[in-house]
Amino acid sequence: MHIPDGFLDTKTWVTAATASGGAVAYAVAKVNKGLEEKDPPLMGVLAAFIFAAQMLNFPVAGGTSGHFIGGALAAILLGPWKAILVMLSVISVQALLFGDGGITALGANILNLAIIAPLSAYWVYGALRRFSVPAGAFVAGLISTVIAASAAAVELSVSGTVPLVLSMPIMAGWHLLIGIGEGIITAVTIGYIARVRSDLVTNTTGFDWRSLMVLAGVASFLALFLSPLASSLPDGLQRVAYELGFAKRGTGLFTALIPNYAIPGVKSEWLAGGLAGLVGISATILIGYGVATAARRRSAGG
Amino acid sequence: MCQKCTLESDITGATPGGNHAPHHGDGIHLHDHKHGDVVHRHVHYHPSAPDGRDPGDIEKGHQHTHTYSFEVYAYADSLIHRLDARTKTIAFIALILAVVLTPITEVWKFGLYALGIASLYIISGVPPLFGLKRSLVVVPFVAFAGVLLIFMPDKPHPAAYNFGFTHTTIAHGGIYMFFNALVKSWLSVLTAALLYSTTPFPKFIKGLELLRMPKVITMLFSFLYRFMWVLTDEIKRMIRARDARAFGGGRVWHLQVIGQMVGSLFIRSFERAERVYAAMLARGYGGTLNTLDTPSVTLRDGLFSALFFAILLTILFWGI
Repeated sequence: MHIPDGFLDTKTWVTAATASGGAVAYAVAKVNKGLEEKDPPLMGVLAAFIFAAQMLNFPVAGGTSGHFIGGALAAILLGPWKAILVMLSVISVQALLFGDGGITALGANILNLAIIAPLSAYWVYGALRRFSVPAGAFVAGLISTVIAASAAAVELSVSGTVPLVLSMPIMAGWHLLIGIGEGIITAVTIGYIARVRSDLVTNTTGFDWRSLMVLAGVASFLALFLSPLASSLPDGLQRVAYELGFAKRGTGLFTALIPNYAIPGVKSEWLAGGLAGLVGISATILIGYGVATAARRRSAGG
Repeated sequence: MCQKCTLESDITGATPGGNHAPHHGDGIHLHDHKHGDVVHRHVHYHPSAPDGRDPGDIEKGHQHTHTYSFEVYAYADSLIHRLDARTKTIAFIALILAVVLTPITEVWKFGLYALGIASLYIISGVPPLFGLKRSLVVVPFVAFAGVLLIFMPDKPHPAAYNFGFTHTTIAHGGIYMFFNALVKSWLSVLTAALLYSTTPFPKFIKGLELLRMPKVITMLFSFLYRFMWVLTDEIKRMIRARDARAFGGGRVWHLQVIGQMVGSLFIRSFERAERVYAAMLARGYGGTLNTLDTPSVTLRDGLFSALFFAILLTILFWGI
């Protein structure tokens, strides 16, 4: 799902581009630090591998089909930082050479498919593979697909193009089905490689918790900057609506979806909205962290 | 069919390896031929093509364009083609930015943008029909937005429309939103098509490198560009083999087959990367890619940029 130009308004694509720019700069620094001479050709050929593997279609439902995405697979096989750069180059080349996804929307597409997807996949896989490698790979493929699609839905709705109440169930629901396919393919692929060239899947033994920090950083940045802007600044079309004499459409979709979207005691609406978003994201991450830690303890104890 | 000359019979059915372009002169020349029902498009680069590629080397042309003829015009020659990659990258991205930033209510500005893009197509010699075909990639997204328009729960200012015998209520704001997405995505993708139709991708990557893109990313782009069709050919062979052998079975079984194909492709790709690296080492690779190509910004680039940005900024800021 590559968002074209014109579907995101200025505040959204600028914020998304800034967030993904920061994450990519961090990934470049991490990769450069341990960069061996053989890495650029290896990563480049594997980027071409992801590109080619995306040719594989599978039926989803009702006669439609989805294609393999590969973000989770790249994260499991290459680790989070190299996976970010590999997915980034695939998505950029698709935008630049095929018009698949827009130029101003490139930051948002990179954010969804090259940062959020591999990082969340890596995190999920790292937490679950102690119990079962195939299960970890399956859930990583599934979750990363759904999260990436949900991020796209949020970006589209914050832009005012599609209301969240419509875009979220459609995008997340649809990609849940695609994600099941993605998960099965990822799990089978990892199993296959482990049988044939087991040396290639053992290079992710140490779990890099910084991947989680970057994911949290990106999410916090988006929550802090995007959610208050979503309700306070009228976007281009709302301005148009004003100019044409229409009433403002709703008062922001967040307020509709989450009533009392503010923090008591905080006067500034901007700050309150941002903090509320931040608290929500932190809670989600803490729960995830708790589950992962509990999982580790149990496996260490057993 | 050859797209440059009219000697169709000379071109169609040509066998790979044959020399069949003596009458074309210099520059680019395309022809399609069929393997069964798969159409392969070949591009031949003749000695004085701007890029100076080998003449008549079918295998090379084949690798570069494949069935997906997305950059068939990149090696042609025109005023736009001769500009530095950096000039074109900056100018066309600025054009996309202007399109995206202009409010949709200023309809005449979009007319001017469309006119500007059309004249760039004419100057560059890239057939506008090609750009229009490439721009169809936005259709699914626009359709998605269009369908949702009907369901937009937009109470303040609804407008009733009759589509056939159905009576539908949709919001005015939603209609503007829809046209906003439609017009902007369409003009942007037309501009993007112009960029890759006038700039060979290696030159584009070199331009990015000179614009301070991190080297590890430009190197990834280069390798991705070099090997994407090689590995796509590989996966297509695997798909053909699967389709010939694997039929029936349930959905999960098919997904398992795909998983094994991906695994197999990964190992083949990894081993190919090892061979590529060995070959590079044998040729003196030491961690960075060196090219002989040293592009330079000329007076032509300066004049083009001045004129381009004068027009663009006038349209963008008119009436603000």
